Amino acid sequence: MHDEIRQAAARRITEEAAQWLLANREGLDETSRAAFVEWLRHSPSHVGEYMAIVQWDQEMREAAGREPLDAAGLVALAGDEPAVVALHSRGEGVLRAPIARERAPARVVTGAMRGPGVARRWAGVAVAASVVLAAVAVWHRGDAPVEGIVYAAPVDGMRSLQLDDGSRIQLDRGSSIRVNLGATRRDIAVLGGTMLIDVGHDSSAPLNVTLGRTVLRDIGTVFQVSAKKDGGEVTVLSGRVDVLAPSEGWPWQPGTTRAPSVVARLQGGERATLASDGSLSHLAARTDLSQDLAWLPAEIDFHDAPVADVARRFNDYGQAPLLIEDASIAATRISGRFHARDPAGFVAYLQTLPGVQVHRDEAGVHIVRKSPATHTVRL
Amino acid sequence: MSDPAAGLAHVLLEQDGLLQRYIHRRAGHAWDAQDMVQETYLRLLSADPDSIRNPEAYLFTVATNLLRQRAGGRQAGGREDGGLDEVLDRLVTPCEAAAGVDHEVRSKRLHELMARLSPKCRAVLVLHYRDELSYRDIADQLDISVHMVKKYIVKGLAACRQGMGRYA
Repeated sequence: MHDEIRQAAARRITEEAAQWLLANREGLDETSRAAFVEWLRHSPSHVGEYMAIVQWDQEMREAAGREPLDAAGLVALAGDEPAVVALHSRGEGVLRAPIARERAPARVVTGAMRGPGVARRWAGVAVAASVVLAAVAVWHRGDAPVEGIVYAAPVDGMRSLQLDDGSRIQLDRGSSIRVNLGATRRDIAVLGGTMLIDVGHDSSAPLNVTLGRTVLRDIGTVFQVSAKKDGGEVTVLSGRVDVLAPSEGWPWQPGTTRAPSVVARLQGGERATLASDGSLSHLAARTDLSQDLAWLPAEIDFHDAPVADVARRFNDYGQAPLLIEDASIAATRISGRFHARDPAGFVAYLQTLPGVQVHRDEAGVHIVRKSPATHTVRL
Repeated sequence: MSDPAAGLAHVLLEQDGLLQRYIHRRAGHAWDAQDMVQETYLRLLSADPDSIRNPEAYLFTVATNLLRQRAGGRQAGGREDGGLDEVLDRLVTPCEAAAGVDHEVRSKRLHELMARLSPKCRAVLVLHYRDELSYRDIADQLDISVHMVKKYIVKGLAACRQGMGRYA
């Protein structure tokens, strides 16, 4: 983890250097010039990385000259890339990524997924999902095909998803999951990397998350699952997750009705480490989840999104939960960009909305109407 | 160093000496890229910030002068720029194995990495670097905002820089 944080810090400096490169090419005004000097003076790493990125810029120019496709070809190719990824149709304008009904090798679903409905619903996650592919596949294990949709985040960006059952998922760079939602069961397999899931409540079907040979059963919660070379980790932000005994068979076999035993019951703030054979190797309380969640985007960017949806995104960061306790506030559509790890700015913004009042207690930050609340929305 | 790809900052953080060793061996400089960065940084700190009208030019002028001084002290008739290009080359490939490959091969690899980026990111980079279109023109062609064009360039630059190290 320490290494990952260091790499993330280095990547951040590279991106900052690249931003300053672009700003320099456009020309700096006096304020920007002073800010750039200040940034350089902050660390020798900044100086070195900026000088490197200037050189790198030239290398990129040379490499781009090797591109065989002309501009029209590139634009056409880019047009096939979904600006956003819609999973199942649930409302106007939201397109469906079909589930394969026949045995076929994995294929990539492409096609522009645009439209006012899509734009409105997905604008908030479009940045994170800007580089995405959705693969629809049928897996074979013996004679039993396993259906599901594979979602993968690209190596150069995270990906946000909203499933048809109301679950919100964040995938770290290079991570992939397989999702199979049914009327009687919901299954998600973490194929690689790290997933944070805020489990939705639009379905009463039980949700199982498989990590190697281990099955995790959600009891209404937000938790993170990381697949590692030698096992994996499960970190619970809120709610409860049951870690079930390792499964001998493929956990997605249709008709599976066995009731495996619970080997650990994780509460909010706890992390379990699993060995490659699925056994529980370590269980610890986490007083600070910030390192576990360091990979999440630093900013929450949303456009014309309901307050309730935005608050849920803040709540994925393991901070004191934002509780929107008035239906009309929850449904109010807003736009903006805030630091994800400092919800104070967002709360201050909410307070500027007419009739909104905020109070805090040990349960979280309550957002209420100045008049008595008539309805509570669970986030 | 588990991932040498994360740029110079990573090298500076790791202090693993790969860069220094490479430069010492190949270029024979008694002075390495990290020293150059440190010295440039110290000069920057000692300067009056308001007097630095063009910070980028300032960095490269200071670095060139420092390298020239070092080269002059080491041998008469040293290179005109004191080897700045070579040292900068090392900054860009902060990994011994990656630094060992020929420039042509490196450029091909970089192009391969660009081709593996998402289609939009790839298109933005090529339209920017090869076709030299303005941000506005790129935004119009791809039906995205100018802000997103810049974001793709930044992310693409960083991803390629990170990806190059994985060849090592």
